[in-house]
Amino acid sequence: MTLSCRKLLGWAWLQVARVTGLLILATVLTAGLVWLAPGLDVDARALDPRLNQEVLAQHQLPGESPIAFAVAWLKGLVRGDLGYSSAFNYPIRDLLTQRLPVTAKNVALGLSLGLGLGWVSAAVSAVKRGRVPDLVASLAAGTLLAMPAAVLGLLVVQMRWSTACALAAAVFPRAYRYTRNLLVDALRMPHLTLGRALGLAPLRLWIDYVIRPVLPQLLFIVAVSLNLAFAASVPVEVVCDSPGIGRLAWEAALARDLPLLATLTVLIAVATGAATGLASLSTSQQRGLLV
Amino acid sequence: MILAGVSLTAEWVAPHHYAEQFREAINEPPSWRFPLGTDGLGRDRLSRLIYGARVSLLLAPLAAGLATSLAGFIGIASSLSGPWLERLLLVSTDLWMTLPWVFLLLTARALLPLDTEPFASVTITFLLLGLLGWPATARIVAARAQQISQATYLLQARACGERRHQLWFRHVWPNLRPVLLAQFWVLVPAFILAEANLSFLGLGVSEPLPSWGSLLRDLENPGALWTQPWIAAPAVVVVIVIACLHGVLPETGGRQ
Repeated sequence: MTLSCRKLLGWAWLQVARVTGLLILATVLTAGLVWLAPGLDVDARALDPRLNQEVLAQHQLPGESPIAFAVAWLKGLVRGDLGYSSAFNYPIRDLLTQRLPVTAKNVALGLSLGLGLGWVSAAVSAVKRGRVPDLVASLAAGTLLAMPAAVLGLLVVQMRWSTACALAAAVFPRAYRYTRNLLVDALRMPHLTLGRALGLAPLRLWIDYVIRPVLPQLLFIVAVSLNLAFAASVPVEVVCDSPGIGRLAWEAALARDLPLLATLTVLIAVATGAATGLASLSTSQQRGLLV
Repeated sequence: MILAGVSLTAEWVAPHHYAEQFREAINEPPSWRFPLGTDGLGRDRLSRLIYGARVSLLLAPLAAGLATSLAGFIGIASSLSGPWLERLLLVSTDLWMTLPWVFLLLTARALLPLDTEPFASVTITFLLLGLLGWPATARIVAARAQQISQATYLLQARACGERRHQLWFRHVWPNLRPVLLAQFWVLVPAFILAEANLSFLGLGVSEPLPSWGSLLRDLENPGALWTQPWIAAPAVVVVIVIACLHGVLPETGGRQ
């Protein structure tokens, strides 16, 4: 096995260990929160003499401690059993099967739109620093950054746009600001001056001398934006009345359906952890740690 | 600063108490008596906006202070400790940073009984924000502390016989302080926005205590904004305050 293959394999094992650690941490943390819920071991229905002990026993969480509950949950995850939602009276796996595609579509569209607009605006601003396009883009980014995600959702509802537009509005300002700073620094690099002096075509200068060196950071922005998009999906889907997992989490929180909330938290943590791990691949490659 | 001062003196500045209801003036438009009109329960919107500023502008900095303190402690500990402990702390920080804090906040907030007292709910909300918002700052502090520990001026000071506490107070702390201050100002607007989102979802500050987030719920009715544009005042105030706070950040702190 060549050195580069060994390094790549080592990196892959590291990311698997990282995501596994994240899964365990998120599971134990949320299980601990669920376990510490006030009145967890005292069901209000126990005060109702019309209900018998069999019904009450069905609603008790398994295990005698948060760790035991987390282990039981992980075992169920391996079997494909994510538990039962008491608020919706439905298996959690089926709920996720229905709701996840909606959020996935909104997040994918929102990320594409927000990152695309952010990167293009950043490129224009980096070239035309201090001019009207730079000022307009910076003002727009600053205004959108100052708005809560719920207000962005309300604006989208008023304008009769799709839910993905609200997520794009949440992603755009951070993507724009960070990319603009990266490109401004990249445009100041001396090797770019040398490229111009050698008479290289502008497109080639941009691709090989500006974009390529900052590509790992741009991929990292994608991973961070994914986390941001999932976070923004909760208030946005509530406002836009979109039946995704963000709205599901809100409904679960209002109904105190803690097993469902714990499942959603763990799954989102693993998804964002995996995305961050993939983004770090390009960073490691650039640093010569892999190939 | 003006808003912060107004919020501190809300009892004297606000025309009415935030929970006082005027049953004869429900959903009133702006007037001399009620400059921003009244809500569906006859409460003065301007008074609730002023009292809401107290919750957001006073508690967000406290939560940011808690998060910055935690981050400073963990970041400095990781840089001053041995390689294994440093690696363990940084890996734990990275893992913690990847957790979806919004969902954790929802879970933690959902643990509370539905009849939680307003003061308890607002305290717990901001305490949770402070306890969950430290990882990114800890990473930055650890990197900066590492840089300082390898600086030549520190080596020279050590060679001159300075003791550990002298090194800390004369060289390390003055160089770490700007980083912590910049991160503090990054976290304050982030926590104001987080509280606004939580309260908008009904999972933040309990009624009748107002916060900017709970005041935004009046915008949920799509048609209301066109017939009652004054209900957008809390949204405008939030945007202006957050934009001003972002303007406070130094260039390097904003880049981070």
